[in-house]
Amino acid sequence: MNSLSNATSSHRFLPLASSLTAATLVTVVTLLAGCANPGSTTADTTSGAVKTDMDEGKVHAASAADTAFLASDEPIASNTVVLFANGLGCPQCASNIDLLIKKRVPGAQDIYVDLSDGTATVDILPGTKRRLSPKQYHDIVGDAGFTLVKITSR
Amino acid sequence: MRYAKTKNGKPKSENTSSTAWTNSDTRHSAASLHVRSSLFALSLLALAASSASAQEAMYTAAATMPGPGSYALRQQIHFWQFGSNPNDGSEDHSMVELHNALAIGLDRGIALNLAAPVSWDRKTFTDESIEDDEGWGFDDLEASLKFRVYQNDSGGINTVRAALIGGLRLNTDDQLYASPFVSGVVTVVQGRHGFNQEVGFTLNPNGLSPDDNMGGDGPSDAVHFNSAYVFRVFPDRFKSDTVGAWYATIEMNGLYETSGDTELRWSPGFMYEGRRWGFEIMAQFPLYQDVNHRAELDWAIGVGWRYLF
Repeated sequence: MNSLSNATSSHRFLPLASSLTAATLVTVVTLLAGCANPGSTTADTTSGAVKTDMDEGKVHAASAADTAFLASDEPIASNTVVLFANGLGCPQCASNIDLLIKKRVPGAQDIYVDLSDGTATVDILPGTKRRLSPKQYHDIVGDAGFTLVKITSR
Repeated sequence: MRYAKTKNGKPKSENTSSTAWTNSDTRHSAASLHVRSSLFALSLLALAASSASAQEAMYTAAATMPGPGSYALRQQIHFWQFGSNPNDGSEDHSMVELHNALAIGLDRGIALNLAAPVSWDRKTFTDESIEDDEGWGFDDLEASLKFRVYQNDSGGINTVRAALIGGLRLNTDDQLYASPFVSGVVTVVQGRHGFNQEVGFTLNPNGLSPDDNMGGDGPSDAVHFNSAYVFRVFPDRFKSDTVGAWYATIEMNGLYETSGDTELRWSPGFMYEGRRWGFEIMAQFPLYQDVNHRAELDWAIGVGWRYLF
């Protein structure tokens, strides 16, 4: 009695109205609100350029010297290293960098990831003997899933 | 990600002897219990340590993963309400699943995903002489590798990524067998907007009885195609002190089985993502169903959390 032969075809489009709940309505309205104005603009006060919310976040530009520096094997002696990375699209992405730096950078004390800036600032315990090179930082950020564009130190 | 998992280990009443479930009951053996014990240990391991990463909606994979040596634990509780099943004569079928998943970053662009779901379900039958069928059990275990094959970080936030996923779904019924699956996923993040597109194929050479098929579980092979749009509601722009963000999500989840069953579901939801943890709540509704070999979905809801460590 439970055989397939008794099955009846259920080919149909289901009425959307019957499955809409208050929660889904809120979601749809929210999404529509976001889509309705995808190109909202703000002025970038630093560069004067007009940016839309489709290109939020800084696009780190690197000079030839910056790129060459990333390949260097010379350890960075400074106690504060600033990593400029592209692709930091969400809060949890930032933690990927955070976690790897803690594991791989000797003496890493404080790590501050700024999503608005696309930077990770690493404070290294003064007196730490083993220091990493730009190439090693480049590998760490790459392993975390992002693209290191530039390094500065202070 | 599939909609539902197969099940096992459910006590059956004699009255359900006309269904394939009872047939499987009679095959319970010491050997299968041993297999189950091993799988239980594996599932506990997965519980302790999960899939999923950022910008990932509930039912659609993303081309994101934890970094090497990092872990992402993701646990979800799903409730599914299915309608009548032409195979076993059940009138409705309710199912609750605790889906435990662990993603382990192995190397740059490579992650191991393990999943160990546990479920409870209840079936009622139109034939009043058949007792309700209720029980819990382990669902299919999954082990897969995700490879990031493309990455273009075009801006501070903007990125395009692609990943390939390949793995095995281990059926935990009386006889242990595996269903291999492969999928490709593309993730695009542009400012507040995120898009995930996933297409996958599951080979079910030894698929389950149609009674236990909740969609893609066999006996037919299955193609799934999932699309997700993730919109960052708050903050509209990341600030230097941003530690978390709220997202609205909407998904279209499609499934085609070689039996001819085809369906399209839509899944609205919300998600919070902090630096280390996230929270998600989604609902799922059928949009189109041409399903003749298993039960249809009436509706579903899911809540979940994720933790990166």
